[in-house]
Amino acid sequence: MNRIAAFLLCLLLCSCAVWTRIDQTDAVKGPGGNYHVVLPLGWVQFNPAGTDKLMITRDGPRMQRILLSRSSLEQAFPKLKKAAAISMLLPELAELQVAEMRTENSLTNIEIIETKPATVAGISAYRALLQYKDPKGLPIKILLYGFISKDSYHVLLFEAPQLHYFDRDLPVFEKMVLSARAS
Amino acid sequence: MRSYTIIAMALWACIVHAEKLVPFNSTEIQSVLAPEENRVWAQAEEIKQSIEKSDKLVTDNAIRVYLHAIADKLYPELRNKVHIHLFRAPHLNAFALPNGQIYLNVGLIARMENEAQLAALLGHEIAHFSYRHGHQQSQQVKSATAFARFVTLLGLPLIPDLLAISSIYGFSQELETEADEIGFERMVRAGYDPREAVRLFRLLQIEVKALDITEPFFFASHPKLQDRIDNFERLIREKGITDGEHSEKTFFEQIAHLRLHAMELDLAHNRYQPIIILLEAQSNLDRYPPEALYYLGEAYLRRGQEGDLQKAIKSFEQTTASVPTFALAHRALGMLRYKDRTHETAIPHLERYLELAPQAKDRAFVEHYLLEARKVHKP
Repeated sequence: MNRIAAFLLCLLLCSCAVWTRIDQTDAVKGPGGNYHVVLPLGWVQFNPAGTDKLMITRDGPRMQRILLSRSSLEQAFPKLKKAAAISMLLPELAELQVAEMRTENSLTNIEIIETKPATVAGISAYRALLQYKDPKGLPIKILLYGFISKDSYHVLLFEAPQLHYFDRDLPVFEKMVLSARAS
Repeated sequence: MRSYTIIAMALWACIVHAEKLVPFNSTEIQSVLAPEENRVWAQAEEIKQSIEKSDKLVTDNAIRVYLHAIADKLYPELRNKVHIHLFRAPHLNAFALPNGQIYLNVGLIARMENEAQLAALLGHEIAHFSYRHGHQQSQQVKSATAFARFVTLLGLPLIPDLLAISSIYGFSQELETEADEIGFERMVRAGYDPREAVRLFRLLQIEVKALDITEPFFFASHPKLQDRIDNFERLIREKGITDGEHSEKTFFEQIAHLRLHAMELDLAHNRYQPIIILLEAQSNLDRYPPEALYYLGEAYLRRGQEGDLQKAIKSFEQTTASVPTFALAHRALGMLRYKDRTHETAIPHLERYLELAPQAKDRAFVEHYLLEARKVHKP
């Protein structure tokens, strides 16, 4: 029994995320390396091993989180079993992204507030503002940018409770997106 | 899927013969509740409140009034005790809570052909409430809820309680048969044709099979639907029923917009196959509002097989021809024409879209494409 408990404890400790404080103002490579971006100073970052993802937060992921992710075009929407393609219009990409997110149990009620064209690292992108209520009825907002660069589909996402956190930390996210430069 | 199977097995393993309870039939329901049943009602109330908070209910008063009128016709003694809600979800699902809250998914009601079919479903679900099946099940499946602790479903909270006390996965065969018998009796008494129940369950069964649906819901389960068909056919045979009211016209008028909403929900979840299967049958298409062709077009686009693009364009053109004020069909045609660089055709459709939907959520995108198209095509 003790051995099982020790094993479970080890497993728990191994799975604990290693968060590191962002203390440099230089641009760093975004996941996949197609662009560089300046991360918010003083926040903490976590790069899950073996993934093209980078998560950033200030007060904890439930308070606010920024997620930078990269996938191959073929693997862009794995749950929908759909690929992204350069020939797609940006609103098509945005619709697929939202449909992919809706496959998550907690996001089935996600609604689009607005989509519009944008530019990230000099590349045409979509900007989608979304909202949903979590199981306790708390309104959550998501702002995401998505674009195709070379052979990759990139998403820069900011999610926070509408109350207090979203509006407070949105400028930090927008500043980070503006800082993105093609590599 | 494996977790659902474990839960289902656990539920079945724990179910034994139920003690018979007196059905609710008076206005003083709460005074006859057993102490343990009060706890079940409190759980149901929590679930109800969580569902309300989730923003997933349709808030259309006209359809609520219509649904309650049918419920009152079936169970006049339970007027104001049964509360029917429409859940904004495309799946084939409906369930009852022990406190008289009945939930129907928009996707399920949209598949029905007439009021008699709706009455069959409501008759069955209200019987679960009236005959206190939630309370009976909750006493038998307490241990099963432990298996379900980490399961979430459609983003609903309190799922262990929901599994234990609602009809979402179905009750024991005995309780389900009882609900069929009560529902049948109420349908006949209210003048509905109970043969429509068989037709409804067959329609759902065909869809479940064609789409290979693996959702664990009661009305999306092939064997459970077969049980309903067998029970209703037996009852019809025994009672020698050969007719009854269908009320197709009223039903059509009341739920036409819900049919479109169900397809909107299907597309939002990238479920294009149900739309194609439904609307490729001309007989079904005739029962849908003309705007349905737009959703068929979108479904073709999402499927993206050879020839689907042409089918989509044809569907969109048919929609704009029959309902020229339907904005989304203009958007679809405008975007497709922009994409294939026939800008002179794209421009009028995009302009019309913005004219018809000035508050569109993607207005900035459409304005952007319109600008680009005008740069290329200068009249």
